[in-house]
Amino acid sequence: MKFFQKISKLGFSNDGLLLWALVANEVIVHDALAGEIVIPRMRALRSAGSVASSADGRRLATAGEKAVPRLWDLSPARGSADDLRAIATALSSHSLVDGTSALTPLRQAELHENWQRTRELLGGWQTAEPEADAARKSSAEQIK
Amino acid sequence: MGAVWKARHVHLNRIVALKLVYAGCLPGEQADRRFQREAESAAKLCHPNIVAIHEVGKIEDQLYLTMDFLEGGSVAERAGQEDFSLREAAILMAKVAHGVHHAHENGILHRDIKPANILLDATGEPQVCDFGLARIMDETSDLTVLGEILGTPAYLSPEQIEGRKDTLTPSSDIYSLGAVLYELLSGEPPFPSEQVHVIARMVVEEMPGRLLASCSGVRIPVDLSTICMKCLEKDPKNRYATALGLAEDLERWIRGEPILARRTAPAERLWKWARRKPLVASLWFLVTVLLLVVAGVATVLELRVEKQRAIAEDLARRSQHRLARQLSQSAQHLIEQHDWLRGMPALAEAIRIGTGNRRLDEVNRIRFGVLLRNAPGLRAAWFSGEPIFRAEGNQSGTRLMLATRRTVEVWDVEKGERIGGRYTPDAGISNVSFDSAQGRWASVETAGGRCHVWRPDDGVVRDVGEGSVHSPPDGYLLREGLFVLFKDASWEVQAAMRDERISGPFKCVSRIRWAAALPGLTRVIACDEDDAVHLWDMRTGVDLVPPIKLGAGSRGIAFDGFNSFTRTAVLHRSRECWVLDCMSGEILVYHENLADIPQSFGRDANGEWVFLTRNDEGVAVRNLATDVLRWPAFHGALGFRGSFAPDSRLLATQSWIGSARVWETDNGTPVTPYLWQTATPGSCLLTPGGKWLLTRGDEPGARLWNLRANNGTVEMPGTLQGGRHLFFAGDPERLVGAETNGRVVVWDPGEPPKQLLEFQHPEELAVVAPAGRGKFVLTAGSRTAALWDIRTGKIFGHRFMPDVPILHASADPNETTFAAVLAGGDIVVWDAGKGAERVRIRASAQRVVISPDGRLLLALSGRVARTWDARTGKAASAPVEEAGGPCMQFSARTENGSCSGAAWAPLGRAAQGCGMRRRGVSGSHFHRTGWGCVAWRGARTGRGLPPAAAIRLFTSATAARVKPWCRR
Repeated sequence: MKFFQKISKLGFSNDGLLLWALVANEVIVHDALAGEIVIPRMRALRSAGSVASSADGRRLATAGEKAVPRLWDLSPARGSADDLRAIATALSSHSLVDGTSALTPLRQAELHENWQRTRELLGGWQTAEPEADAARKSSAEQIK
Repeated sequence: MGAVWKARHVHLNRIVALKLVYAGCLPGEQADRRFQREAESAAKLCHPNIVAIHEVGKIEDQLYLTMDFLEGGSVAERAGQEDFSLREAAILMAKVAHGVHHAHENGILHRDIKPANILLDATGEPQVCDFGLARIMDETSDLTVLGEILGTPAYLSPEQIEGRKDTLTPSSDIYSLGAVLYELLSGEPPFPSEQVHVIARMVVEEMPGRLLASCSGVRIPVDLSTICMKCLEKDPKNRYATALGLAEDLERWIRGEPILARRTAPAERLWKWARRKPLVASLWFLVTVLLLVVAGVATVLELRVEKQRAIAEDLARRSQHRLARQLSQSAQHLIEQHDWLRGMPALAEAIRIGTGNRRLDEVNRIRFGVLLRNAPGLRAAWFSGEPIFRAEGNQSGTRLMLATRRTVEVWDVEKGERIGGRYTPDAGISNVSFDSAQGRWASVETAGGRCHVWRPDDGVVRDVGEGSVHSPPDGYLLREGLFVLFKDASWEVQAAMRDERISGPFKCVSRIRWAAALPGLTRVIACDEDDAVHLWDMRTGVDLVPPIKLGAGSRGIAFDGFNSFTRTAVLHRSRECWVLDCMSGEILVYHENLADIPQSFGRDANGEWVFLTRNDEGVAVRNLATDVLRWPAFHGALGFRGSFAPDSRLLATQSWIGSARVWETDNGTPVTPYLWQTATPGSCLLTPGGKWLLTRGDEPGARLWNLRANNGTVEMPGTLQGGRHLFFAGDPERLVGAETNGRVVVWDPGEPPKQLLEFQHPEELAVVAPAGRGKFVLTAGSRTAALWDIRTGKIFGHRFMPDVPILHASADPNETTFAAVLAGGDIVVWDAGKGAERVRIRASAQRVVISPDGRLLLALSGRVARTWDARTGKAASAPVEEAGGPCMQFSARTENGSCSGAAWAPLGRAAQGCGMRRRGVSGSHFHRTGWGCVAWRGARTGRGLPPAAAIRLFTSATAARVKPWCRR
């Protein structure tokens, strides 16, 4: 692995899965063996002067110039793979073409279907349903 | 007993056998009568295998009897001439047994069955003679009779030999039949001997020899031998119960069927059956063979199919794993391209399929969890079936207005609830403006030219008459409860929710294209169809400055932020731009040939006007005063729409392929990954603080994104200025942070996190480290080192205050001791509990590290490293000198539950042969279990080269490089 900026600190997670690096005041978390980035560069991880890993390696603490230490949750996403797929589909508005790695945008109905499932799993807003007729009648009465 | 003559019955003129009983054999009248009675009884027997007696009588004291004359002689004679075959013997004896059985059924025992008493007719059919006569002879004669019997004791049963007359039964005759059969099969009687008394003894005491082969050398079948031997059993109970049983068993053998005398194995019975019915057996055999062949072939085919299926399943599984890995890599690529959201489906699919590698699957789940917690999320989507042509928010970003050509609705962003009902005017909607200050009302211009003011909280609608409320593109038209209503060449100012005209109507020269009230309720800015911009006094309608003439097609683009409202930027044509001081009417900036097409205007952190443009490269931000490019950014596709947040710190852009993204205004750093909608975007609305982003396009619909300003992190309470020391310690786990000025803070990192305590080291900190199984914290400055209890924030035991400065210190991970390097190079192991030095080592060290198990000290001085026993102070190893640089480390290896320390100093040794040594190693970190370490070298600054660093991953045991990494 090569970085084009100075490495300040390195550390393993306790289970050896992850390797975090403090590079130019930015924390980057890698797959310890594959070397792939596990956590992409994020705004809040910048300007970190120090970083620490919890014993189980599933929490990172960073502290830096902004004087407010932050705690990062690196725990894995649990739940069934189907639920994860529904969440990923709804949040991204894209789905995978079966058997390939090609992504295709969701149509409205597909998004709505996945959105409902995601809302059950994660909570959140609901989509607006058209109530045009009732609303039109109500508005007309109000104007009169 | 007598002589047999061939005689002719004179009266009947037939040839008979005349048997004359020797005189004296049956003395007495009584014996005569008994002879006649027995002979008459025997004469009643009528069976094809019994010689028929015709007449019994006495002539001149000569007893006689006549019977059928059989020309074939006796079996004894025949056996003397030629051998019986096994089958002939069996057939013959079966017939004889039938005859004997017939006699037994009539209550007559023969008692002297022997080959000589079995006669053969002309056709060879056997017939038994002399029934009952033996009994008479036996009962009436002594020596003479005995002499007669002496010739045939070999055929008598043991009970007859022993003279037990009361036990004579048909079994005795069966024995005799067996003896005859034995002789016919083997060629000699069961007990061949010349001496009678020997025969008699053997009959009583011994079993005859096993029948193995006939006299002609033919092997005697086991079944036939068994039948014969069953007849010769000493105990009558073990013989056949009847002569018929013997006859039937012989007949079974003849037919090839299993006999009853011996239990036969199923295979043998099957074989006999097959011999009896060869055709059927052949058919069955063929069918069986065919079935077996078919079954065998089917089995082979099935095995092949199973094998092929297993191979196919294995290939399918491998293919699935390969696909999952490809998806994982695809997701990784998308994530690295900041397209997190589109990386998530690929990642989820990779997790669902499984890569076949548990570690990689777990990493993928971690990656997914991190994305889920940190990536912006779609919080709401509106699909009303019609395009949303206007989406606006209020100043604080708490309310959103969405309008289609038929309906308007307002949503509370934080609660995710619609405020009130929908407003749906009958005539349809031509334009909508939102109360951008409070979001309490909206003005709706219907398609019929009427203007309605609608309050979503209570649904009140007020018809304010004909007119227009066309707003500038940024929509900041209606402020502080007032709006400008204009129609044709007049305008007036009205209060929004009360029937009050503030001022006007005022006449103007040309038809007004757009107009807006400025803050402070003193001025109105408007643009007419002559492309003249007016600044009017709101109360009097008087022109405050002469009309500002702009070129055709000018339109308002942006007002200054929410605070000053003193300036506005006006676009003319496509590449001309003005910045107009709305108070003085002065044109502050004018560009007649801008490099790019402006989209939105805002102010950077220094208060300078910047504007967002789009070009073939994506999006760019330029300084409006100088038209200098501030920063460009590639948006994945051509930039299409964009707008600044009200506070101008962030800006959002949308590309023509449907992705939206948020950037920092000052430096162009992306704040979010790509946010996708499925159609060409129409506009985007960024709330202050960058918490929410609303995108709309021609889906038709609008989407609200939660941008997660904290990126999913949790902020710890309190502050940590310039925190250089941070670690987790203890159980339950605590987070400890330390400032260089000596302030140490302990947090509980639970949910929610809270600050537990803090304490102050009296001087600038050089070392802060966990000690004593995480229960303590070692703080060390130049004069003092101490252990602190992280539960109480108090100093544990005694602090270490040497006379000379402390250069470095290291805590025992398990005990309440620590090692310190003093000026001069001495190493002191301090027992904080006792407040005493445990060991002092005279050395010239600069740094010291205690091994994970606390038993060793690793001291480094320049390039020389050496290990010492932490308890005795004796050297544990010879000095090691390396040219690799001042790097030292311990690895902890768990073996049998114990942790042993191993010196890895300097790391250049571990890295030897991997190219790290000569280049120098600046740092290393070992995995806690000791399975490997990473090492890195520090910044390399060279001419024209950026600062560079490299990481190598090694296994502790072999120092072999596990994987060469070469990624950015």
